[in-house]
Amino acid sequence: MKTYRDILRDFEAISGPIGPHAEVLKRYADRLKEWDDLFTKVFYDTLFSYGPTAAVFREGERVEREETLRAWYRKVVSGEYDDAFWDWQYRRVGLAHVLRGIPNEFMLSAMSMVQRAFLEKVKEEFPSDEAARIYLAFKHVTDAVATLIASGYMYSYLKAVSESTGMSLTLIDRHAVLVAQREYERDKG
Amino acid sequence: MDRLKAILQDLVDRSGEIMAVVLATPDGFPVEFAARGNIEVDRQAAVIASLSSLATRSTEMVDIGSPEEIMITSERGRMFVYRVGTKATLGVITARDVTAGLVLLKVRQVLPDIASELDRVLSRREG
Repeated sequence: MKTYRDILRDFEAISGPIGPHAEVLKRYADRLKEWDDLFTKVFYDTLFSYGPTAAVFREGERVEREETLRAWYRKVVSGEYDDAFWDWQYRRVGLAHVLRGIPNEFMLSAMSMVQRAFLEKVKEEFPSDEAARIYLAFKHVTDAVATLIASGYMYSYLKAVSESTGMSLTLIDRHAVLVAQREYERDKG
Repeated sequence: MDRLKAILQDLVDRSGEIMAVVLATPDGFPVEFAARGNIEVDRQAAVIASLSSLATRSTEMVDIGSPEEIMITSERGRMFVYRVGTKATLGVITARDVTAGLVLLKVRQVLPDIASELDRVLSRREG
């Protein structure tokens, strides 16, 4: 199994290091944390207004979920990330999403919505140079989080198939390649 | 023709009811095969490895030890799957109206040769 470190190493090699962006967020953390209620509201208003995402939630759990998101947002904008934070995004959030039936397209769409809402707010509150820097920092960190969650979700699925059928991850990968080859050839006509 | 291929080809040639034999790694890659006519060896190897994995997991779950062979009877044929040590799985595809016992006998006779030749092939590849 890849660890969150493997995933982050690839992410940073391709998209750039997280450290400098974390420093930017750290500098503005106190002010950014003040927006936690706004983000929580925008996030859940959006998810509860769309049938398929609203269906993911149990009745009466919005308050509890809001508290979790508020804590997550405050952690992200703090710019201070430890091993436990990254590992949680990779292993626990992916598992939780499998358990709740939240596919990656929901998660990635919601992350995109959060990033856009952050951009709008940061543009209102800061001069444009600063706003751009803060937004890029937030986007980079949340892109890393989304990468970990998506990978964790995929891994949870593959592990479930592997454990229940006895097929190794390499064998499952072999099937995926063979099916992809066949479909690719079929699409080429 | 190398020895492993020769053993599989001989099994097919001597047994009119055997349509194809495919030796696959646990990860689903073909090691060698012999067949009457064309077969999709890559896909068959992956499926044979999967059947072996699933059978192993199933017999573990009901606590009856490791499977020695799997036999599937379908509308137009039969499929037999044997573990060849821990390094490979042998799939044998036959006509529908074969005497299963005869196929089992023929395959079991050559399994030790396949296993020892496979060891030689794999150690040559690893070396």
